[in-house]
Amino acid sequence: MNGYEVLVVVLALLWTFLSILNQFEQLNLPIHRVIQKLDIFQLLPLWTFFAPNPGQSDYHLVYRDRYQDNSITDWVELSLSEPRNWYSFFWNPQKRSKKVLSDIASTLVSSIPRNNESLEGLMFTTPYLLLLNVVSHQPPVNLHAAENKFERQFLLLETFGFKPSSEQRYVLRSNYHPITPLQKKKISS
Amino acid sequence: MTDLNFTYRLTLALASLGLLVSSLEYLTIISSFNLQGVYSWKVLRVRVISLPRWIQEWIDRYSSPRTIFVCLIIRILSILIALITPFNSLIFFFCMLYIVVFSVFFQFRRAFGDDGSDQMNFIVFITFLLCLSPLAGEMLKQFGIFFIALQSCISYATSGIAKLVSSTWRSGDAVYRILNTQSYGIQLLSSYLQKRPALNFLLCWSTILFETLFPVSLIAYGPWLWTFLIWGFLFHLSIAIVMGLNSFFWAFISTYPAIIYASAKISVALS
Repeated sequence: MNGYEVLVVVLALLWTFLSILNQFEQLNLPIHRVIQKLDIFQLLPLWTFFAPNPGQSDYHLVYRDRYQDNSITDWVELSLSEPRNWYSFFWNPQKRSKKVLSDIASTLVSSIPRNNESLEGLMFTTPYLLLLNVVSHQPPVNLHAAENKFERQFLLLETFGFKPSSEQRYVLRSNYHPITPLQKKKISS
Repeated sequence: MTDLNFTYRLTLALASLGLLVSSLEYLTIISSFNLQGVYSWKVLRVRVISLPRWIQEWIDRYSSPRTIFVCLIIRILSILIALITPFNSLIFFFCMLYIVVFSVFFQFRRAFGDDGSDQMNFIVFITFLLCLSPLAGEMLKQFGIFFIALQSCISYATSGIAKLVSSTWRSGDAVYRILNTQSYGIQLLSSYLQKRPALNFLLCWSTILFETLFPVSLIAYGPWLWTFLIWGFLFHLSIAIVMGLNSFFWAFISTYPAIIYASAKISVALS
């Protein structure tokens, strides 16, 4: 074996060792904090698919507008999942555009306890800003009332099961965020 | 399957097909990378504001939807060229180098939405890059195949053990509960499973046992090996059909040629 080959083998063994350690990240040992710090590109895999606590619920993102006359619209849902087609087993781009919103919502929800349920802390997290960004770029709920500046609030709901009557709970309600004229212009174009 | 080059070719073909589908899927949702999209760089770039300005500017330059579009096209071309290029050639090396470097950058650019199939693809393609480079000899080539097989076995075993320690999985509820969500389930199937707890129990425990025992395939050349692989094939196919997780199928099936090769070699060594 030449020097290059030895180097590759050593790197592969190191990778395997760190990968195995990474599977126990829930133990949150000092080594895991070191791994998290070093693995800035999140390359080390985590193979615990749907375990130990499989996702058993769906998140729903709804939003509403408040206009200058203080009128508030009904909630409008921004779909986070779409019915699958017969060919989704081979071709499923929705998984990458819609389901990722659900993943972002899930990450946001998981960070709520760490912030003591304070919205002030949450508002500066990347998942919150991503959801706010997507929601902010949706058209005004009431096109006529939204000729001037208005505000938008979003709400995260969690449902369990397919039936409309299934249990649901409120997870997070944002503050009202002003929608700037620039965003309005983009929406109308 | 004891021909090393054939094993690599088959692994490359399967992994490439998955990566091609994935690249084309991203091309169709390229608008998600616009300012208002779910992958908006305007928001995601908050992660780089602590970096030196020149690095920020460099990352900004390569993060626009147009650049991502071009990079995805180059990835598709790299995959196609690699499929018809001899191993250990410089062209093959640069194709793999591009695929691996872009994968790392793309994961960083998206921040969310990566899954196990992306991680397995990364392992497979970085193995191609390092173990089929112009500097690599036969021994390293063989090591690469064993590495892919080992990583595949670790992934299954970890997933199985994580399920084994879960009371939801052990009780036989997990499969129904997952399939009873709009994100991963189908309403008809969910209703069907709701009335059949014995079937749920069987599905949960067969998943736990198959995944946990999967590494046995490495030392079980013969009927047991094929039992594991056929089980795995049907397992991933059913996940793709029912849950829409299509990329997992190609990513994990692409490791099976390596498992067959490694199992054959280990059985010879043991006998």
